[in-house]
Amino acid sequence: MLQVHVVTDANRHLYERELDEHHQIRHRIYIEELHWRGLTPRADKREYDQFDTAETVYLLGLEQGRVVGGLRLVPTTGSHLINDVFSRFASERGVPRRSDIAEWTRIFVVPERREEHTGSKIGSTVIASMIDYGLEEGLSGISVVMNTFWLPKFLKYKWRVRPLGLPDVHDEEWLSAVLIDVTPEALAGIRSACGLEHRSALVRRGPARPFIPGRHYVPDVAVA
Amino acid sequence: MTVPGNDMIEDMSGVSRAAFDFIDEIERMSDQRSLMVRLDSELKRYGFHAWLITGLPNPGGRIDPLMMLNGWPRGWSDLYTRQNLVQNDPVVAHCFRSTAPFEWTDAPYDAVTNPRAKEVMDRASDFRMNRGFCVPIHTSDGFQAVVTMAGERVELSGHAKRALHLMALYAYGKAVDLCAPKPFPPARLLTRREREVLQWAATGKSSWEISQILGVAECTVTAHIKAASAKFDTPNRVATVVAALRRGEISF
Repeated sequence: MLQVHVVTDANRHLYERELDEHHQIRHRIYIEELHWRGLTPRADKREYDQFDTAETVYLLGLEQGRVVGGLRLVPTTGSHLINDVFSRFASERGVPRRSDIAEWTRIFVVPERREEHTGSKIGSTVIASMIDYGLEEGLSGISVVMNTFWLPKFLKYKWRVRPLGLPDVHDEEWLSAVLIDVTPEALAGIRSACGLEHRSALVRRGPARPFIPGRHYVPDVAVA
Repeated sequence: MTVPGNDMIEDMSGVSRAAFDFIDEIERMSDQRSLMVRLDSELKRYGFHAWLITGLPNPGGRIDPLMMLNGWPRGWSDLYTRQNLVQNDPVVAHCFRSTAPFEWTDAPYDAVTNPRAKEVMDRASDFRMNRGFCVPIHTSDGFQAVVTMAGERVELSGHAKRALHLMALYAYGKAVDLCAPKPFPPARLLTRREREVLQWAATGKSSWEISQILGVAECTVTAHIKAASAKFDTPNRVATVVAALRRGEISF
């Protein structure tokens, strides 16, 4: 089973190789494959942007030590994508900015694992782990600006997804900004809709850092 | 909202507010009837009197088993299913090509080379369905669906289209939730190995390259593609890959 590792500023020294691999994968996908405007090719073949900071949390899907999928979460109280770049997508409801709301960006599955159903399984396991992580960290919601094709998928997971504004075209794609409720039902919903096992894929190693600053919690996992 | 059902929505903030109210209201609904009534009155405000939320069949298939919520005029619905018009409907064909919402006028066909498409559109106008707007939906298992709406005289601003887009996505989500039995994607035809070979073929790999990747003989790869082609009744390799993608046997 895919393990989804939580990597924060507190334990990144245990994941330097995996984080580097993940930045290389992002370069391959977002710059070389998808040609996202606003991202320029880099000589070191690693993709970073202004939202890769000490506050950023990475969920990395690892298989035999190799990164096969992942995503990124950043606090919405500071600088983040919807706030800084895509606020026009939140013109009706406003940009959510709360310590218990994270913004989700950069979901990926490596190209060589997108075959058959493994690709969607890796993607859905990473997404389910994001809800799992949100529950552990006491988050109430996750905001995301995404292609509109995700919306019917999320509703099929029986997620409560509230739009922040009307969809619009960016870079020839229809995008929409939404706020997803983090609830135990949301976790159960994606697991059953995607045929995932009803147990956590999250792995935490080393020192922990809570997503919500100052929040005290005891992670329900052994510290290696 | 207290606006009567036939009031056109004029201003932009009114359009957005109405769309958000609609989404909030249907979230709480627990029966198909309420959703249909609410959607019907919402769409009338944009000039649409006919609408349908449906899955779309693969070529040769019928649409009626895939229909979820049917707000079409009875006569048109009967005619469409009885004569199996879905086969020649240029709007349906465009749904398979487009991931973005579109107006019917943006689903072009050549009336000379494709008189059957013209016939479908002419019959639709007999039911005052002259102008329409479609929101195609592609689900992860390769199932293709659409929310389509039509009226006699419809003029949509860009803002109205954005509102309709969002409402249609939510109405579809709710329809899936409320409609049982739910439509299922067509049963699998291919073997695991045939899907694997076609998945690689879809990335542009030659039979020889696929044989190297999978560690089998090149003629084995060719045989798998031929077998899949026979099952889909497709003339060549490209058509076989397209058919497999469309049926959801392989993925993008």
